[in-house]
Amino acid sequence: MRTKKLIFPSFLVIALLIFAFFSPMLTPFDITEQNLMTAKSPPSFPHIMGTDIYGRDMFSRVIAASRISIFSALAVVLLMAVIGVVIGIFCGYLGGIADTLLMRLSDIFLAFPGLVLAIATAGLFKNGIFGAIIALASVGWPRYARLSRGLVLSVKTSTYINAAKISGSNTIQIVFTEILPNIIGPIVVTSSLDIGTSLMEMAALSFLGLGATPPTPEWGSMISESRSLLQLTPWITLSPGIAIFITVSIFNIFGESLRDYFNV
Amino acid sequence: MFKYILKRLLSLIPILIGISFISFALIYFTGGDAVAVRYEAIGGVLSPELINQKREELGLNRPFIIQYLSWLLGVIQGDMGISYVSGKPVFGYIFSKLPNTLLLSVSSLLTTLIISLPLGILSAVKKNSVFDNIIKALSFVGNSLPNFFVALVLSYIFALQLKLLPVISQGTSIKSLILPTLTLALAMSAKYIRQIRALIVSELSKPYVTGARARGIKENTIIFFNVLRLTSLTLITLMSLSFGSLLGGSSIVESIFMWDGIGKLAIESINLRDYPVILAYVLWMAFIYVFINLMSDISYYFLDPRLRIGGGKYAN
Repeated sequence: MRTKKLIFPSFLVIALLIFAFFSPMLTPFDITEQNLMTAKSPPSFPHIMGTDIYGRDMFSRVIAASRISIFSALAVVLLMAVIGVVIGIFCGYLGGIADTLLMRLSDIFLAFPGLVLAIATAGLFKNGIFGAIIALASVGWPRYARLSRGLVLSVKTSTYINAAKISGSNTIQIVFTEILPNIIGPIVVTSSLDIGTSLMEMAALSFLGLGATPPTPEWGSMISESRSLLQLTPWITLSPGIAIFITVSIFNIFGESLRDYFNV
Repeated sequence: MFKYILKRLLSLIPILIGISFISFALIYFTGGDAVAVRYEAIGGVLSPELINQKREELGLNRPFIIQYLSWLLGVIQGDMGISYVSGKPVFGYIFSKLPNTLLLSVSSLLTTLIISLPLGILSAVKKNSVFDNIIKALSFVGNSLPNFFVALVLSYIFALQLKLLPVISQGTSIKSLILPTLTLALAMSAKYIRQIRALIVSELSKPYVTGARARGIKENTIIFFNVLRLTSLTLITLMSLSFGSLLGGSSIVESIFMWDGIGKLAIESINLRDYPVILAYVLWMAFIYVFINLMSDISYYFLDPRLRIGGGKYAN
């Protein structure tokens, strides 16, 4: 019964990821094809999201941008989760002075309003989308470090860890075969719930010109680029926003179903 | 009381020093050459010798840690350097924009409370009703919309179509405040409604509520006099934590609506690579956030009798 509720959201997410990966090949229209005769036409058939100022199909442009928009958000989550979890397990399992220092460091990072720091650093990296990914990940890791450290501390003294130690497992073996499988649930839930937020933050950074910049197809920068068209041709500005909304919704449904599944 | 606040204040010192160090290090290592940037900003090109001479003058050839310490000493005395672009002292410049950002943050927070408190309580009381499900769906939608998109939709509807409100701020007026406030408040309300609902639902199943009901106390009285008072601590914690995302979000919303606050200034400065201003922005935001969290800690003292009567025995 519990697993059953996971099937549909997982299917959605997997379909979305496959779709996004191949998206530049799956557009109904060629996104470079300009047609000034049909430029700025409002949503109708066959252009369901209308056309932009050069007559390019908005729906195709939005689809083509899904690869970078979605995978950059995944990269952010993956990066901050991996960094955070490695630090968290290291601190929780080994303790000592490194633990104290790293946890104080994470306290300081947590004392910053996250997006503020990301905005400042993303702008300075000058690397466009990679700068934005690194900026968001470097702001997000302390939450994962705290979470996984706490989880490690709660299982560290368990009998099965002692049993593994007595039977001669080394630290690396214990971490990978005993600790990680037992603490992974809450980490997976947190990261899946973070995908939607990261996607919105990546888009926000690009919107501010601190992430992906045109001509890189990305939703945030597409919205930013067409902002001045809001009054006369709102579909050009708003279409990428609808794509963000649908994608974030799918990831949030997935995250919430995972949370119910793991019961955290 | 005094001891409690003093303890909290002292515990902030290492955090504040850490914040200043990380901010400085980030700008130091990610930013480009300050002198080159400074002259590019005013359109000049300098020879390498002149650049080096300037660097010497500005103290940029000193070791990193010395530069950090002298900057920190300045900050403590209220000197955050000179803006590369405007040539004005950064401290006063940022300080003059601060009231606008705080006004926006506070009005968003209040609007959030006005929206989410009644809706959250009502969905908790009418758990699993049609109303509850509608609110649930709406807050899900609100959670999946980025705030810059909400800002554009709102300005399309209220400013461009209905022509009720200005698209970009005309000074600091109530009319200009409405759209940025609504943008920030809608996203936050979506989160809050769910949290308030969950909070009240779990509170309503506690024995004291059953006890009060058994004694024939009116449901409204229980909710407003007991449940709300007991959940206020959690609410304040949530509020103070979300102040951080509010400050981050305000920079986006401020730039969209041209609200003349710190956030808008920060985005402009980032595009112009005006390092002293960016540094001051990060530092100010972090200080405000830390200060708000301190205030919420202190408010526990008044709201939770255990902290007062126990003489801080139960406080860590």
